[in-house]
Amino acid sequence: MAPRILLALLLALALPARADFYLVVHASNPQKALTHKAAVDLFMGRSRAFANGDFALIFDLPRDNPRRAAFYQALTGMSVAQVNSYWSRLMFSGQSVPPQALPDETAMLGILRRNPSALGWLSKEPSEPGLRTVLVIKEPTVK
Amino acid sequence: MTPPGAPRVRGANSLQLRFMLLVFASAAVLALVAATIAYQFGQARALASGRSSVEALATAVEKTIAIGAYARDEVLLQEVAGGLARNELVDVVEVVAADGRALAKVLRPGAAERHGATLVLRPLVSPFDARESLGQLRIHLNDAKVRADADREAYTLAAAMAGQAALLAVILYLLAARMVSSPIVRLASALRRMTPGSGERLEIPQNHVGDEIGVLIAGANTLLDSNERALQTERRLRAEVETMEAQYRQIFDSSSAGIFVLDEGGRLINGNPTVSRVVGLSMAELRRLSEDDFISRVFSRPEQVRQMIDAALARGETMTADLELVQLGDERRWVHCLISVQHQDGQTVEGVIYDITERKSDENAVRHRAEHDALTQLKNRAASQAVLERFVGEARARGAPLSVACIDLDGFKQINDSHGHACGDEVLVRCAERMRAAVRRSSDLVARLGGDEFLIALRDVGPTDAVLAQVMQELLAGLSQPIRLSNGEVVSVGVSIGLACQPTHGAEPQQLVRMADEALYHVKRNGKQGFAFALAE
Repeated sequence: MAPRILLALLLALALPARADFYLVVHASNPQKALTHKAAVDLFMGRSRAFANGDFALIFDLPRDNPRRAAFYQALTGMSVAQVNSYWSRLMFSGQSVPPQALPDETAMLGILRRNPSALGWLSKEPSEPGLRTVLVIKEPTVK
Repeated sequence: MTPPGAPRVRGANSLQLRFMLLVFASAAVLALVAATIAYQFGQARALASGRSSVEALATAVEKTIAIGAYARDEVLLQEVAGGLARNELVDVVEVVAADGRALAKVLRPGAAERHGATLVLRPLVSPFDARESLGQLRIHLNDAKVRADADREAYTLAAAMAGQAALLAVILYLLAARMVSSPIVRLASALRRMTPGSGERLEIPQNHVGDEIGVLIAGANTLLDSNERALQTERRLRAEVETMEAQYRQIFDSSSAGIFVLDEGGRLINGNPTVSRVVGLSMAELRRLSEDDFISRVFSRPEQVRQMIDAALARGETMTADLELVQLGDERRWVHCLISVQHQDGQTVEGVIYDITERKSDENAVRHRAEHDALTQLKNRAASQAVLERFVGEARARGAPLSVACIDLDGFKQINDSHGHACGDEVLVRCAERMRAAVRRSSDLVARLGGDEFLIALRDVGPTDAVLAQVMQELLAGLSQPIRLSNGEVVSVGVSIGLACQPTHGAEPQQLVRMADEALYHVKRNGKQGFAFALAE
């Protein structure tokens, strides 16, 4: 796990300044915006529905995505390891499952375009009209 | 000295036993106090430990519970709570949401939910936002178990403390017995076995040189030294005193003087054998006088002795006198007595007596010779005058009669001339005996005035008394009896008697004798062998 953190750090340093993360839904989704807390609750398995009560399908990027660690760090303040530990405890009971991981951001874009109940995150703001960014999470200042 | 088999120190008097009791009492108190403190302390610690182990459990699962509460994963919560509730220290594990809803509640098998149970509470916060409270983890402690554990632990601790105290007491006791008590007991029995003044000394054991036991033994030896010296001095002094006493006793016992000591009541305290011999009492009889009045038992005139004692007391001098003793048998006994009074231990009377009976007898013999006629043992002329004077004086004083007879033997001169003086003396002796026999009363006077002249004075006899005539007849008859001399010859004498009586013929001795004498001559001139009264003047 350590090399991965190292890699993430290297990537973070290599990439220009700081980047934001974009939580995106289908344009037809009535959810216009999300609070940070609601985003955490959805991504961390606490809630499975949008504000209007519609079922939410949460998608994640794969574990080897270079931005994933930074995303969870920005979203929950936890390292990937902590997040994994979190999920492993919940998965133990079989009641909760972590968001489904998609191969890459392209696949993510595809799912988001097709499924009005989907919620996912991207490292670049999508320019397509069929999608709506509900929350932009700023990556905290690199120390 | 205590015999070697003297009883050992036992019972409550034994220092060792008292020490042991004290040590064990102290140990018991110590054990009690220590056990009580240990119990309290142990219980408090065990309670705290029970609570803190539950706290540790709570800390261990807190994070997972918080996650379960966050994700509302009741299965997870139930699982974790169930895991917690398997611990015997826990009765109930509850997870309560922030709105008070119970998210999970598990009871330990066999446990019941109780009111008032001690609670371990943990606030649950969101793993992603510490400000967001998710509820509370409530753990009900199994107080009975916690307390039972605490009690067990406390008991163990208390027992350990008590055992420690007891062990310490035993060790202390054994050490004290070995180091102090038994050396003292050995010292005491060694001292008891010792003979005073024998020169024995106690040996200081190697391991006690210089310590208190050593000092004690050295002190005992010093005491033995000085004791022995004192004993030797005392023995020497006693020997000296005994020698001196023996000398004095020898003097006392063998003294030719009788020595006696009387108490204030005149009872004999001590007397030497000479006293016994002089007073004629055995030592046993003498000893019995220690309960009797010695003075009145021994001296014929006790008042004389008491006067001497008073005088000796008054003047502080030794009084001396010749005293007659109480008569035993015929003999009269005399002592020269010195009396002095001592004031030591009350008042005692010391007396010294010498037997002077012999000297007194000699004195009496001289006096007897002076007063008596050597041949006939009758009173002589000089003594007869004195006696007659006394008789006359007494008779006059009492108004009693007195008869005086002058006697002359007839024919004595012829016997003296023809047979010799020795025969004449024999005749005189026999006639004197016959006169004494005729007079009978020893208190009357029979005297030889010289040659063949005799004088008789009869007291309380007057001229008309029958006894006078009777005595005269007996004189006439008795003296006229023939006398057988030692040479075998037989001689006879006659007798002429002249009588004068007081008060009939006078009241003076010389007058009475003269008138009796005249009457005698009258008889002589008129045929002899008869008696005649004087003529009244």
